[in-house]
Amino acid sequence: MDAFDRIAARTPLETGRLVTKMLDVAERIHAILEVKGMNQKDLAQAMGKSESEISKWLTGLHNLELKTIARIEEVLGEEILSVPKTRPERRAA
Amino acid sequence: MNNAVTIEPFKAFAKVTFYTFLVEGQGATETEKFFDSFENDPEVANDLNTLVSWLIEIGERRGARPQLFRFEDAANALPPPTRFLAELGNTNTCRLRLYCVWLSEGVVVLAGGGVKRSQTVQGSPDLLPRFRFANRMAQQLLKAMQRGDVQCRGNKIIHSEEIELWD
Repeated sequence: MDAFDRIAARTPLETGRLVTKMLDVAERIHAILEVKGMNQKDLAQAMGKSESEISKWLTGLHNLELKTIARIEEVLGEEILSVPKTRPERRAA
Repeated sequence: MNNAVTIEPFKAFAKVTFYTFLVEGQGATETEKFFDSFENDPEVANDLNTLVSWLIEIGERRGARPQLFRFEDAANALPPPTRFLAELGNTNTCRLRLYCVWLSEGVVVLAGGGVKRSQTVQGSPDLLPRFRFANRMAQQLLKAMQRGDVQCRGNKIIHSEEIELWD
């Protein structure tokens, strides 16, 4: 095991999870835009934002607020984030 | 330019193989030296955790999309922009840089790096040589790619063991 592996082993799981989720959201928005034949400029206009701000959101490097995600969902008419509706399973003690 | 530099595999993931540079006469690759030197440095512990998470995310799930890398002249660098790192829980500005050379969405050659202690790399005497080294390697590698002397197939550099660069 080298230093990289040791650092990976000690890194809190939430750090990796957050990296994954932020990029997932950005990719989902990209995919919806593509299906709808829209681009960043169209989304910017629909949301009353500057294109540079939309561009920043879509890099996957921006921590979007839930409120902003809800607005994007409304404008695009598609779900971006979904939360499991099933009851969490109780873990054995 | 006196020392030969070869390319060695560093870490292979499902979507990306990260290679690194080995300078002739050195006991460790540039990237090994980078991680070895900062592994136990509390000043950059959080930044290092995020950097490793980022490499794993790119390597395992995303692929090396160009937009996920900083541009540093001919070379590239990780981690991602400061804003992103701050949102991952680092309240201080991230000063760690790991330089690299992006060859394809499946192949990245990592170099060394360090702590950026100034607005520009020129003001960080410890980091500047790493920046310059990465750029010297990037210039040679990218020219060799254009000539067809270096080729990537999937996540691999074809005959990477035969590539010889100079520093």
